[in-house]
Amino acid sequence: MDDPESDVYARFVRRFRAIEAEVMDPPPFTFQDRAVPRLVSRRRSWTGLVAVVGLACAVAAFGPLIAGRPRPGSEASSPAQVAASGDSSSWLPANAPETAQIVTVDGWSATCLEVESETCRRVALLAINNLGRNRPAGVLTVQNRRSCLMVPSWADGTRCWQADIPVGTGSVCMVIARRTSDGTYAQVAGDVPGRAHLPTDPGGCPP
Amino acid sequence: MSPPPPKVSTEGRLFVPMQPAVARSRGLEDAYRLHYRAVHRYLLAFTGSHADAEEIAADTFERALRTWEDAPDPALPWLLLTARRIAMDRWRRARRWSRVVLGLRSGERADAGERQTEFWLWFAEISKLLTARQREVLVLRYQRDLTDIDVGRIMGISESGVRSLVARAIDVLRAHPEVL
Repeated sequence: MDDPESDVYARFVRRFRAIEAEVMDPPPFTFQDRAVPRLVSRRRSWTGLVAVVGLACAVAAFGPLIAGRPRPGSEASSPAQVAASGDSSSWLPANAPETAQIVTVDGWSATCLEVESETCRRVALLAINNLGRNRPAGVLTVQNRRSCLMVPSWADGTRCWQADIPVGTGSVCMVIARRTSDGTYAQVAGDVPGRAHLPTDPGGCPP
Repeated sequence: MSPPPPKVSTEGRLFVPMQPAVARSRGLEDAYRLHYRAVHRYLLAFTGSHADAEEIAADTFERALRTWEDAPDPALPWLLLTARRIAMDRWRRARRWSRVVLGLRSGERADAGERQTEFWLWFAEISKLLTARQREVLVLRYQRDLTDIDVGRIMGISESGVRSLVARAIDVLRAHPEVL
């Protein structure tokens, strides 16, 4: 029988890895009274279907009366736009690409979500050096963070990034910002190699 | 060989300890944050549709939250199994409706246009060669956190069944090197 790590499988994995650019990051999560409002609101029901059909009939009947009026809003159409929806317009940099892209760094595959490739490469390099250096290859995700409150005074708090590396049954992550003195990238929060010396830290990146 | 010692400098690093109550409630949210992409990726490959994958992923976590106390650890195989069941239910329902109302062929799926990217063009080529189950087993194997037993539970087959399915899929791919 073939070993799944065989060359054929490895080549399949290399091609399949492109799906990472299509995979969405989790939408905002709100845990209240055992329900997630955003998720619950997505559910379709028969009453909803009847309402939609009724609305369609109403629009068909009164269409000429409301034609020409601008739509009150439009939905995001791409995964990147969905991820960037809400109040993200203020924290996303102007030159951020609209779609996710993959860059290869030291044999690792970094999925850059709304992060320009050069910045993504530098952030990924630091994350791999700090948290993934015992593995020759792997995948990680780099994205802009909405909040940079944890950034210390020596770093530029206007922008910071989060890198997530899946390991075992979970993942490790770190927050990275640039030093104001020389513009180099540095870790400002998140996991470190071995957490034994941080008993009060539950791990992971701050929300 | 043990891994080399870390070269990380701790200069200027600031850690934010979490409150105990926050730490306790992290279970659900952590699972959502950690596993959402894995569930979405599996559903994307399973359904071939961004809209379906997003909606079924939302349904999956909604269902998971209702029964979170029963969730095994690790939760990922359980989440993927839930996602698969929801996807299969929807597919069967859609197939029934398409037969009754529209007279479509069974198994026909809507193409939402996302297959125009290079990845989806490649995946369409792969789909012509591999059966749905061969494709699925390779996609699940891509998720490194899953064992063969986990993959078998998700797909409803034995561990040896997983291995032979993988072997057959690899044989097919080996016979068609042009797609890799």
